[in-house]
Amino acid sequence: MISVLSHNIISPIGETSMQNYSAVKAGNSALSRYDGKWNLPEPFFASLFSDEQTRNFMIDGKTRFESLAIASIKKAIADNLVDIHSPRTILILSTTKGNVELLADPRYFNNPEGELPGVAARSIADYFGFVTKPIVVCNACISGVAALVLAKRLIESAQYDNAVVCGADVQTPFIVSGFQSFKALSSDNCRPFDISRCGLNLGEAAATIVLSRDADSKDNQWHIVSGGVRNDANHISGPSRTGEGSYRALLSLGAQESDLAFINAHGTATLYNDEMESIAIDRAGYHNVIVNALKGYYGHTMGAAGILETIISMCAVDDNAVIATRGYAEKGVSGDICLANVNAPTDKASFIKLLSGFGGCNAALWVSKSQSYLDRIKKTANKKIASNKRDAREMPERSPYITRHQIAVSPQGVMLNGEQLKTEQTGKALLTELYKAHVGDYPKFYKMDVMTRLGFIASELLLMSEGKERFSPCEDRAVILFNRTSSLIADKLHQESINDANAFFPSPSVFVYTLPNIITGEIAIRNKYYGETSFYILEKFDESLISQVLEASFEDSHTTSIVAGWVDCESEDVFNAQMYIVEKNK
Amino acid sequence: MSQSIVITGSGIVSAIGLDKESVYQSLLSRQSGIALPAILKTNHKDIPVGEVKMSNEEMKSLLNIDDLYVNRTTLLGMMAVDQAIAEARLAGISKKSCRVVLVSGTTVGGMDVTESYFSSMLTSEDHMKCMLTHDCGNSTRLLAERYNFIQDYTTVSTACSSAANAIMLAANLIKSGQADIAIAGGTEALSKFHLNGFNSLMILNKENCRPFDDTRAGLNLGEGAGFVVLESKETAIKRGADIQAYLAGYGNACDAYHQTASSPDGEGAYQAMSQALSMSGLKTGDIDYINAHGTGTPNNDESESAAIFRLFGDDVPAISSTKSFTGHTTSASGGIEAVICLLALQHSFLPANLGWSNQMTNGVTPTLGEENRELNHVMCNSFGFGGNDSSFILSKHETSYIPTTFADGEIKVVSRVEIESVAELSRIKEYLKPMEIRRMGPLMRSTLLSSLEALKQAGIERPDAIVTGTMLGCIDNSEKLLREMVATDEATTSPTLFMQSTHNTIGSAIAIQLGCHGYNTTYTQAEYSLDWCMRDAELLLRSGTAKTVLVGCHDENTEWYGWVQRAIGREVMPNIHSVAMVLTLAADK
Amino acid sequence: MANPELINEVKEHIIDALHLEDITPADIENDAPLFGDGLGLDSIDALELIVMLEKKYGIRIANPADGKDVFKSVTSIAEFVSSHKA
Repeated sequence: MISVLSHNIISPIGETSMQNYSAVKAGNSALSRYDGKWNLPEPFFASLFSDEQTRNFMIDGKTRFESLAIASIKKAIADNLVDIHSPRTILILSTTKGNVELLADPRYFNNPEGELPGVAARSIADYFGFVTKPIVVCNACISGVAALVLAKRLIESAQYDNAVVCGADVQTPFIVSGFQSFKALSSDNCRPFDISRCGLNLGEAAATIVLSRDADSKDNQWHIVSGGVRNDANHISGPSRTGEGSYRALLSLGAQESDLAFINAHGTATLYNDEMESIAIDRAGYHNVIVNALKGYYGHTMGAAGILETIISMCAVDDNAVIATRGYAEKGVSGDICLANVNAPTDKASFIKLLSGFGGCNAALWVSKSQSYLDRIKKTANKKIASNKRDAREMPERSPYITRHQIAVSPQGVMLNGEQLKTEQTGKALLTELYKAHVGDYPKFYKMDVMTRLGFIASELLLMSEGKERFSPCEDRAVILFNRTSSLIADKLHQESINDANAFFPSPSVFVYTLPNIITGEIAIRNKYYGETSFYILEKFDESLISQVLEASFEDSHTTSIVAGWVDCESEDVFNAQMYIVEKNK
Repeated sequence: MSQSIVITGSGIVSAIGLDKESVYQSLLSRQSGIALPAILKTNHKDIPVGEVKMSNEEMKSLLNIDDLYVNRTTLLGMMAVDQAIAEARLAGISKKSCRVVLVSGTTVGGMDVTESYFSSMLTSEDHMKCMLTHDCGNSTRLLAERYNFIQDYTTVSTACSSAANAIMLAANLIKSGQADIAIAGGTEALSKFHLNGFNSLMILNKENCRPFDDTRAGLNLGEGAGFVVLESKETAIKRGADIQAYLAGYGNACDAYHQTASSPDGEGAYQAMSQALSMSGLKTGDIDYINAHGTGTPNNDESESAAIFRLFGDDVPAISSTKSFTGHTTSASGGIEAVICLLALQHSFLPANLGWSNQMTNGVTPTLGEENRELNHVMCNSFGFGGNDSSFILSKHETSYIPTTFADGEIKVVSRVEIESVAELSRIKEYLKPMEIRRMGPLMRSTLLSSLEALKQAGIERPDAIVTGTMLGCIDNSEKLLREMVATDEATTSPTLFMQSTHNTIGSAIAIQLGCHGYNTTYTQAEYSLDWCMRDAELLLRSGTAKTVLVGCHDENTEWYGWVQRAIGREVMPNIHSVAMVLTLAADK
Repeated sequence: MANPELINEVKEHIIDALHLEDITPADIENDAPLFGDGLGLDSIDALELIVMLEKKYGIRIANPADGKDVFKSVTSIAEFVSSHKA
């Protein structure tokens, strides 16, 4: 079992998990209206650190984002329960935009190496002296839960014993303008699941959970029981009308309704998200479990959200309480679910954390307090043993997966399964040439940015060469990609659109691609893959780290094959994709 | 992948030596380790025992342990496992490439520490922290945590056959691909608790024991630990580990006769030995030596002889009981005797059966020891209270063993019965006669009621196997026995209380009630006890060893123990809880 | 002959030591065999009776085989007790 050793939240309403929980329980929030902040033309509601709070966590030589993450990690590991310097301890950073505010500085814009998420992760890791290489989880709004799921699996697959999982994001004109272009921001306090909800609020925070292999079954120890990531295979920014991915992620957990104190939903208070979640929860049959959301206290803290909301939920269960959905008054969703705007008591010892995000990704996590002897025995007695594949791992030194079919796409050409493909163009034009020659019937291709085109066309060629019947829906294939430069091209495009107050035209069609995981969503949509989609950023290409993550990904027992690889775009003419299909080694 | 299971390391601590070499020398020189108690603080100064000649303090400093309350069972285990790990060169093995499991057999667990503070704990919380490691599962946990490469661990508690059953589970985990390497065996410290218990059963010899002798008059208790490192032949070759021997076959059967006595015809022993032989692909004539259970009680030696004659006819292999050297090391005996068998194979000698001079009627004739005797296949017997009988065969060479296949498919729960209150226990009268119920404590009643009801619901008269879990076992009887020991200053204790104090007493009670001779074992690993039962049941079903398995997990609590649990910050267990299930493997889709 | 009072006392001790919950002294015949067909007691009961004799009457039986004759019936136990008290 994977245990929670310690945790911390730093937010505008507190510097420790307990301060945060007490504030939330009392109904407090730092959400307020900002007029003219950062010279943005439109006002917005957000939960931001005050200047004084910011000064308190800033560290010399580190950026605002890095300082915030460091401050939270420092508090989470203060009790020395985990050996940071051990080769068995890894840092996992969850962020959607990391140091993106640096791009506003022309020095970084022109030489963005120092802005990249992998560099930020390295800087944080070095501050503490981690000896292992950090991984950045960049899966849009589900990053926090996806990071916890990754950490759990890396420990489960025996590759590490401890993981420090930190989620953080700071708000910037870059992000606020992007969400404004989407018309996704509420003009006042957000109202999750309410009939009058009209959008989300953004928030700043960092949250850290330290996970460890279960060493001692202490009472009241929290455990990550199960976690799953699933895709809607529907649309890159619009949630599925059937709640497909969230529904499937919920089902993958195997949690009994009677075990649950509550389901802590994503509940961003956008029209479509909350409706989608209500349908997914309804479909999963959790009609009698209270569904709550914490965005009314914190706004959407992006990369921190999954971890922050998991911590608040653990504190609530420890306090035998279900926290009210701040901002909720009248049910405004069609799913048959149970909502509340007052704090309620509970005697249950576990909860589900649910998230969904752009790219059609959804994540669910089942977190439980160390069960009493009886609970454990009862759960075991009711366990279903479906197949003997459960524990059967391979012999030592044999890879847990087999690689089949490989493609490498560079600006100069394509190698597919060891053979050079005949092409004439180079650079960006090569991608269009490939599309016309081999696909041709998927005009969405032209809406994609360069990196997405690269990943899309590489996956098309790869899957064609697999020679299997395509496009029939499936949940056993995951799409898991890695890179170094995140969504740098789209980031720069969006930055250029907001640099000049007189030419301020942020565009939703550009902004959506500032999330690198969109590419995994595009592949899932094209192929009707309801399985896991994940995107990770590394400091540099690292074959062994990638293989660790892929091996861990097979800990999701539904996953039998993965479309995986490296898809990196430095500029429109400097890119590199190496993709392959890996199958679970039976 | 072949399923050849090999032994690549072993370790031993016993009354006749603190490592393999010194044990070997003692065996050769016929030097028994049995003497009057020098370390165990008991009033029974006249009862000889096989003590490990080292105090807890000496072991603690040797092992670099400074925990005040660490129990002797754990320390002995560490001494032996350290050796086994060094021999198999496991230190530094990567968790990523190898899943290493520890399966340890023990029944005493932390009882030695518990009994030393018991009278103080009746009225004060001063030393209650010692109860954190009272239960058997915790001894194994402490043992496992000493080695950072151990991923999983469990405790088998079938009294005197615990270590043998631990070795069997370990082999099955490897064969089914759930583990790559397993450290298996047993560890047991002497305690006043079981010394008084065996004394109340009047089976302790006041002199050195004389197994298989016509004048034998009981056993001597001993202590120690013996562990072996098991892995598949492939893993061993890949790692470049030295193969010491092959685990050619093993069998587990239940005598289902009586809690403390063996049947006259040795049915359980016979079945266990036959199974081991048939798995190994060997004939009776291939066995060169039997390390007998041979406790030296009139009943065991007679019953074991009968079973051996049934299986081997007139052509009985050389046989001896090395309990005449070590004493009966109860849960550790299967591990200690496995290591003695390894020594015999390696050094080509027959260990002596000390104390024998008079041929018993209808009894085997043991060897008095022989050097320069080439041995290829040796059989090792371990029989426990409740008729938990096991036997395994170690071979110098790979035999044409019968491989085990593990079928796919869903494990079906045919029936499930749960008991959660003492009030429900009165329904036991629907199943059992008053004379059968009279001696049973709440846990035994709850176990039988839930099990018999689950079988009835499943429409099954007798399951093929019984796998039982318990976290604390019969703590009601254990506490009563401890109170009697304090009250009478070890003068008299009730044999019934002792008989129903071991963890496996509940699983074997079901077998006795049903006349079920099939596979029978007991796991105790805190809240994971049922998990391990389910895992073993799954192995039995998938391997075809059993078509139906009765699985259960049963626990009780007492007022005093509830107070202890509160005082040490542990969850207060329910007064009674039982869950019993009948499992089968669903037919292939 | 052992006196009826002692016989009744022995019966009560037997019921107590062997947890014969639903049985009264009147249900046990003085001369009926305790083991085998009679009450259906077993070897553990014999050991419990040895403990009972030591606890209640201070009589120690060192070899369980010696108990065989003593534990034939209630009468034989009572006779054994009175002969040792004398």
